Amino acid sequence: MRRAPEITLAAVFVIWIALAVPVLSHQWGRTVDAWGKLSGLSAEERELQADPVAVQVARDIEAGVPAAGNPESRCVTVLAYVGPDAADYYRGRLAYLLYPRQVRLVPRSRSAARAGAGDCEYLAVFRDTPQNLRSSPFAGRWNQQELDQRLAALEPVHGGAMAQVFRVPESGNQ
Amino acid sequence: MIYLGLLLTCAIGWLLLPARWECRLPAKLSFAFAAGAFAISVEMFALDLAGLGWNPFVVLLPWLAFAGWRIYRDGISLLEPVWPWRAETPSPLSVLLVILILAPVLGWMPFERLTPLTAWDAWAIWMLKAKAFYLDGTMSGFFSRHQEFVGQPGYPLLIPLYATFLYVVNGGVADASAKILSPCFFLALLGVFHHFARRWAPPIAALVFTAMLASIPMVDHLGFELAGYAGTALSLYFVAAAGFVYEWHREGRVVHLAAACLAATAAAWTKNEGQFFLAAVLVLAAFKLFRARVPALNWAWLAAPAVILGPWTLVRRSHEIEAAGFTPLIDFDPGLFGIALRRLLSMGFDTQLYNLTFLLLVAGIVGAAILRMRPRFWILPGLAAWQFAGALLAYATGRNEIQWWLGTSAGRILAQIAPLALLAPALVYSEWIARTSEGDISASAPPKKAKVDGRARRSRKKHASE
Repeated sequence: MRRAPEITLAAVFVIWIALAVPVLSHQWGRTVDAWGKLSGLSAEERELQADPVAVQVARDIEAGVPAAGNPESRCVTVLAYVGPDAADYYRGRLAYLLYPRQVRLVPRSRSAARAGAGDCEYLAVFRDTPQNLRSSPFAGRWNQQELDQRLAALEPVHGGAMAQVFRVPESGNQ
Repeated sequence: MIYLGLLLTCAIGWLLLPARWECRLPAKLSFAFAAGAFAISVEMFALDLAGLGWNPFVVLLPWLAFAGWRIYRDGISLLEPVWPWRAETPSPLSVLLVILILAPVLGWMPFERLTPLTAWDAWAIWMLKAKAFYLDGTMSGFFSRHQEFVGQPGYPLLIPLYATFLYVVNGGVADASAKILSPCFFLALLGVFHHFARRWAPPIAALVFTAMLASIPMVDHLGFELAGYAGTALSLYFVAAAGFVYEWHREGRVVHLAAACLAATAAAWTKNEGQFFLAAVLVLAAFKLFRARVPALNWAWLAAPAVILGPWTLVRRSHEIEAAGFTPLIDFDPGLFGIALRRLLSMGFDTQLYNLTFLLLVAGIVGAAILRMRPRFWILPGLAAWQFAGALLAYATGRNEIQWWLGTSAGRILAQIAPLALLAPALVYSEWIARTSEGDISASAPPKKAKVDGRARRSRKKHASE
């Protein structure tokens, strides 16, 4: 019995390692996989690969909406053709990626008119990928024809790969 | 430059630790990182409240002055214990165990370094605040806009303000780089855990328990895949506070009381769960203070949390931000409690998630009962059970849909408790091995009882000091 504690601890540790090895091997596999996919890419490219839609939309909006200035001039209303679950995600994600800009994401083709002080100076429009829409289908109201007519009256600021950005004149209709 | 920020954190924390403190280099570096991150976040908070801003010179100047004073006062002893020639040559078994401790870190680290910041809570809660604080140059910009964001603006500020410090040193937002703070907290967790295990158990056993901790799948997941979350930092402060409060009860040294109160404050400053933990640590500390013969001034350590959490509460309230906590037993739903209990137990004993951690905790409790360990032992499993109960009470309030809530948080909640849960088995093992040594000595020399007891005591003391 003199060595009972040591033997017990050794036995427990052997079992512990036996249980840990498959999990760690799996992690090693993931690390090797990530190394193969990401090691040659820049930080920006990795970010884009990890979250392609939100990051691309953010970059498109970033190119059109300034980060500095008064609250209105760094505010963007995003009309998003996205599913309800995705809307929550994009709302949070774009708020993070675009800070200090103010992002108001609405999952419909129309938002309230810009009546003046306090409303966003910019409007962005984007449509989620077909793959994402299959998993979280769009559930809002979207009238593409009406939207196109309205956008034609606005000043285009930036046309990106995922999002188009427009400046809304005061008292203009969004 | 993020790495420079991490080095500065260790240096600042090192300055805060006692110069002649008996601990080895990895442990001292671990405590230095833990203390540094906490102190820097408090400094950033204080500078902002004072309206001084976060210019790098303003942030670093007090620490430069403090370093000068420490060097003047302590001289070369400030560097203890960095002298490599004083280190003992490790045994081959120790080297093997250190490799086993580092294997999970080496398996996860490249993955963490390659992947960008994509985990939800990391960007939605912790790093969003850090980015906002840095870009605004103040906390109030974000707090005045808090209703725009889906994250929890009422969560405590250690991680956001520490990440802000890293951005200040870096000169820009670099979230993928800054999330390395989680692996750093993970390494510090291993060092702090090993420090206490080494105080109580023989060297090899301490390494074995640390290797166990290093390979708990969910603890690794929280530290690396969910880098940018506050969970690993919380685990670190839990372990530090629990270890120190146990040492306070064991040795009655005021330095342990101070360290326990500060570590528990750091936990409360990291996450809301830490505030529940802080309450238990303060009660345990006060219990010993009633019985210890120490100057009454030492009661002041119990007020340390109020110095930080008080102003934070005022800041929160001035911006009408909810604390995002819960009031125990208010809105209590026994049905939800039962659902949460079943789920947490089934997850806790799932070896794919926590290996044998919680099974060892149960075995440790049984072992402690058989060995009739001193009442102070129960501090360690008691604190783990307290946090477990706190999680159950939170789930039982029904603030969120229970299945979704459990699915998104229960794994992490248990991962935060797991390192704390592993402390108790390490202590029981040390007691068991000490008792076995005593038994051997008694059996080999039964007539000289008084002398035998002395040797037994020395044997136990040796284990404790190793």
